[in-house]
Amino acid sequence: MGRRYRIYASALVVALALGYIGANGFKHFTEFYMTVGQFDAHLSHMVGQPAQVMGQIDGPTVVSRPATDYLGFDLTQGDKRLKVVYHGVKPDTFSGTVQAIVDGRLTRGGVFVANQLLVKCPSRYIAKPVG
Amino acid sequence: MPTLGDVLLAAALALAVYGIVVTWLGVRRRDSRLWWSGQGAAVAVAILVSGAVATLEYLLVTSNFAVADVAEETSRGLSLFYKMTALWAGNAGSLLFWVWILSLYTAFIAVRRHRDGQALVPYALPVLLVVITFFLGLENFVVRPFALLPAPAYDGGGLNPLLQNVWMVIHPPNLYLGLIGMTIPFAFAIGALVKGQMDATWVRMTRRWTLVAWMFLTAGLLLGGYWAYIELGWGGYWAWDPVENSAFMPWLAATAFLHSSMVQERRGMFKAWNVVLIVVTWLLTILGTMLTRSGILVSIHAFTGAGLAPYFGGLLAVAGVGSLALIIKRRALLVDDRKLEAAVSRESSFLLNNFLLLAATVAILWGTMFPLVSRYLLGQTLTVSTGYFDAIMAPVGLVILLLLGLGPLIAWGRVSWSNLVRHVTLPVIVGVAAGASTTLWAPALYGTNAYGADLALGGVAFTLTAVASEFYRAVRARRALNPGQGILGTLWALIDHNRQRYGGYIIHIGTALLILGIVGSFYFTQKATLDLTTGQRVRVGAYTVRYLGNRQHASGEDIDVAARLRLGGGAMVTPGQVIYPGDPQPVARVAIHSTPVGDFYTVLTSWSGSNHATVEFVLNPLISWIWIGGMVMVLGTLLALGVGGAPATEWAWTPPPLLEEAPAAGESP
Repeated sequence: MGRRYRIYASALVVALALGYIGANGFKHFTEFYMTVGQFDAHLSHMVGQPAQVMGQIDGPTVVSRPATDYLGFDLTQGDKRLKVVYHGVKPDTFSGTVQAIVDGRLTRGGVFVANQLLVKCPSRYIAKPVG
Repeated sequence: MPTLGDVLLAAALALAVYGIVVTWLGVRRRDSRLWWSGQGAAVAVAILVSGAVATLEYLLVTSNFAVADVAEETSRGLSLFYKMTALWAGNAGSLLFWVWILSLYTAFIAVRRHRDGQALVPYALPVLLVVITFFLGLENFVVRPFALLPAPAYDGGGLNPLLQNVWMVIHPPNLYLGLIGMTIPFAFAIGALVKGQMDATWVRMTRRWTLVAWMFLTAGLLLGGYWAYIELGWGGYWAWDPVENSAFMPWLAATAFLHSSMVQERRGMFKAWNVVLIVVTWLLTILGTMLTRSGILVSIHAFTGAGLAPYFGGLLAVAGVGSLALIIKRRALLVDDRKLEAAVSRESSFLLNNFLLLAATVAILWGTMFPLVSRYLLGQTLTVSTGYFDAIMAPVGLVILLLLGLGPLIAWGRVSWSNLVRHVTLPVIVGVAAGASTTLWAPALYGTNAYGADLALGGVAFTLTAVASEFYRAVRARRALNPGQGILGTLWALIDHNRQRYGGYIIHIGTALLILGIVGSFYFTQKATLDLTTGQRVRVGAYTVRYLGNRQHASGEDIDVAARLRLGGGAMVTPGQVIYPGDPQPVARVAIHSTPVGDFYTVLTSWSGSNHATVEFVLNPLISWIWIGGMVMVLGTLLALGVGGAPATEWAWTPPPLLEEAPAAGESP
């Protein structure tokens, strides 16, 4: 086998391996991304599905029990809302006025259990209401 | 005063356009006077934009709340320092900051005589001015930093407390210097294509600039990572957020270029590939800017829907298609001088490195853009979680890690197998031993282990040993010639003698250390949340902690409540919560006891009175090696750049002599 073919063949092997890893990762880690309004419209299909949902944190609904790492709040968009439970430390930027992205699954009881809670970088960046 | 800013920006735009025309005409007609005028225009643009920046600074500092940008980003009570740094806090201001840096880079290029490749400057300058014109166009017509409010505000919205820290001051400028700096190699590549001079000159010239930009980008990424690490809610030091990815992708592409460009310099190969790489790097910086500023992708760090997507999209399309057309037009000049001689050689290791870096870039790009792609193709926004990126980067990172050590051991051209085997034996033994021993100590120390960690730590040990032995051999050889010199003196003489090579090796060491930190914190992190009462003693991992109660103190208008924790060794750790005036939400102030073995990271999640606290403890093994490795990488880059050596450019007001040269081969009349 010629030198060049050996190089091409190795390149092909590496490419296939990477392709496989990528496709595999893709299959396992793809999830829905929706705003609260869109999520609400597909609620019946969403139970148990991994999803990221973005909305506005509704200040008055926030329940924080740090001793048990419990954080409960509603995410809203217009008149639509989603009850969220998150177990973990409350982020610094968490407040009743900011947007958040929760990553997790909707339970049968209609509560969204988040395993990740990201809060919009407060900044500088003038937040536009969701929707 | 705001009007002055508008006028300065308008004048800068006009001069930038003028500069494009005259530099281009100067090149076409080989007229030094026109070139000279264009050089002056480039400097004038930098002065005018500097004036605009100074004007905005003045408005910020004097709290002129008639100006929208000032009212949005600052308030009366804000300290002078943060009023000044609010320049890059908003969309319009940060774009102004962007074009300012670019104009300064450009002026520098215009007035410095490069020892090597000065002939390309007249061709690169118009390209730089075109990019400046694009950004000045945005500043003049789309996002105006001096736009006025309908009525002046009494007070501004203020800068979020989270942004009032040292990281906000140093992270964005570094990132900007890095991202914007990539415009220079791009301009030289395009200039070389237009001129039809595709020898190694443009590569030599741009490698230094790419290295400068790469260093700032590295520092910017790591500073951002550290900031996100100590701030809660940003997903740790790296979250595969689109904005993070959009700075990481050009970093990967530039890293690939820094390696493959060496092949062109040394062997006259990879010519077309290098041009493509540098164009791709720059396009990725623009794509990143678009993602950050257009609101088309959801990111926790992005500006929200400023409507800039079409402009950046247009720039990407024009620049992408234009560059491609030029490359195709010049394809005859991009033929390699020689072919790969052997399947295992320095060249082929660079080829594999490039392949992996580019594959990683493509995979990250795909994951980042997927929400957008799926929205258009499937009508439903889908996204990939961090697991996707981790799944790709773990194997790619592992091979890259091995190449970091192996690459320097492989010879150019054709490898001598006996030499290679002799040189890799020790690193392989050390690597295997380190990997195997991880299976023993990791479970004992961290209560967990993963085969990925074993492999990666083995890889780190392999690479560090390989690079260290390379230094050892070189120092030994030098000492044999000059026995009188001390070891450190010899080491310095060695580095100074070939900065590019040994600076590069130091960067490899830094990268391996950085990967060590990532591996430790990725695989071995432990968490616990505990309720504490004064006097209580608890064990967290390998640490013993005694809670000594809370302490409250006021600093200025802020109130800081801290839980006092004493570690077994006597060190105090005091995580707290800060209550800022007018902000009902306390902000957590994490406290970290950092050692090379690991970080003891604490968050005060709640407290009551002075004797009760709930504290979250996070043990992040080896994480400080990320920052140490980053510093080593920057140090290596500075050495490679020849800091402390002779400068590569000198001041030059005179027009480059090349304008009187005969037209270069392949140049269209």
